[in-house]
Amino acid sequence: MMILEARDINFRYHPEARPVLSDLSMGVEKGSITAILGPNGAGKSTLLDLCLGWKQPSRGSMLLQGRPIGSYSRREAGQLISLVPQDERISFGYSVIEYALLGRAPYLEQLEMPGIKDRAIAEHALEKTGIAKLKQRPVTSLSGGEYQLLMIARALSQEPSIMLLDEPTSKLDLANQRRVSTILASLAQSGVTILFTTHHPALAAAIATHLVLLKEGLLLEAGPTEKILTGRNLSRLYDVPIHVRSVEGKPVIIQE
Amino acid sequence: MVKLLCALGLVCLLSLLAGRYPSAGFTAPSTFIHDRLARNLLLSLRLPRLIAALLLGLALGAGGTVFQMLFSNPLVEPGFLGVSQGAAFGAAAAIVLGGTAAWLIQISAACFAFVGLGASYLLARHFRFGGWTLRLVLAGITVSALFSAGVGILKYTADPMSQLPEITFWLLGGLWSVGWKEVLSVLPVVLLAALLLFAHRWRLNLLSMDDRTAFSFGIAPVRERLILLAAATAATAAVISISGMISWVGLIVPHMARKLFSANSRWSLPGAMMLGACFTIVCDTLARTLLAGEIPLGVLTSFIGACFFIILLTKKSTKRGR
Repeated sequence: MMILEARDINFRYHPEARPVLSDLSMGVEKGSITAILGPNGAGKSTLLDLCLGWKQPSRGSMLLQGRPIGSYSRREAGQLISLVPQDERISFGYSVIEYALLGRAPYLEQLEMPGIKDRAIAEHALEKTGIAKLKQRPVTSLSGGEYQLLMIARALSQEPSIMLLDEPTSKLDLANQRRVSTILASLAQSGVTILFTTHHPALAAAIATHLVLLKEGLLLEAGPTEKILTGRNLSRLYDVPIHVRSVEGKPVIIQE
Repeated sequence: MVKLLCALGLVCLLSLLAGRYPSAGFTAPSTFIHDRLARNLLLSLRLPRLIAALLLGLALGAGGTVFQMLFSNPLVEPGFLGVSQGAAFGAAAAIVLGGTAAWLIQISAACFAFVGLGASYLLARHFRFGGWTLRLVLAGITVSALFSAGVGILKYTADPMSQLPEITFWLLGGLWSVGWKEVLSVLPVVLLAALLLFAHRWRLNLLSMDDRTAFSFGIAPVRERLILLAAATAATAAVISISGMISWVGLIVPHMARKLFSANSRWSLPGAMMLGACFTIVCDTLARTLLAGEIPLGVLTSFIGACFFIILLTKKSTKRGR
């Protein structure tokens, strides 16, 4: 079952501007881990923004559970989809737990404040991402990697059905990359749909069940990882010779 | 927080007792029972002025916190978005073109404060550069500069014997002309705006994030920001219409509140409201009692505020980003 579906999506910033995405159709299966791969400027983040509902397509439609995303109330959409941005500027020294609690907003009324239950959920999210020991630290004192894990924890606090992640491992060391991969895999097992952008085909090969290859705003290929992850497809995508070999049953990306 | 509330109560009490009648210093409470003039002084002058100072500090403290959170920038204050300069232009225009009637100056200042906000908003919509917050900030700077030029022209054309001193005093800021009439004219606006902001205090944290992230929390960030901006501007415009330009309170008080309580606006907003009230009451009490003549309140808040800011930013314990 497709939980998220793009139908003939076109997107441009201004009517006169060149299209960022053209005639794109794709679907994201419930409980899958889908990686969006593509070179810089391919439209990966724009596609993520369209899935979030933050941007509206110039033509075509984005469907969430079969309904146009725009037909959901903001709160409903916030309970269904959470976002882990690539980076964000933070000017105030919230504590880590206060920051994670922001993810509870879609479950609160306009004037309501987070309660004990919300705090327990946020603390659980911090434990899951391995940063519970930092919960009283100001976010402004965290390293780039810790901050990225915190953004994932905040998105987990949102208890979403779909989690969108923009370059989720760009600032993480190998151990934390592995931790994030494990978290995403366990979330998918529990029914959460994961859609993330990445510049690293190796990460996509390691955890994604499905791939979407984007180039210059056009959909090059989309489908199950084992079918799409080929040297030919990656070479076409990045315009450099790339080979995919199988080592002990796992795909290994080799660039010439 | 409870300690601060107690401190505010104490500051209010001391301010009511402080003055220069019957002699400079604190008046004994029993004097107000026996001395009719002292009682009149308390009820007709000191009490409305105290309430005005309280509302002024509360509005500027809350406004400063709201502006800093909404623009995710700890260096902005309610003077942003052309609000203060708009009010200054409105007051100067009323003095030059309409005379020196206090009500006319107040209405004109409050109206032009909103014109400043509206012009900044409309200009930001037409800017073709940067995100919404940056465009709003740039539009605010532009509108402030235009109003500032307007104030300069009005000062240049003003009668140097009557109108120019009036404009200068208004720009220096002070509560010497405030009575019950002025207090009651701004009380409903300030209280309603403060209640709205207080009710949304946790939500300000969400709105301090960039638009895309705030949107992902299931809120409508642009609409909510505009509502809270309008409330903060209404409170600010109302108080500066009776006090004139009072600088630094809206900048320094939110910093103090974050340092004393938390960066979380659930605590820092009510903290800034009470701290702002304490700060302006203390400054206004000093302004009217320190010398035989009155010191302009705006001068005193700027001096104390700037000194405090230097200490705050040079102290070793200052945490990054707070």
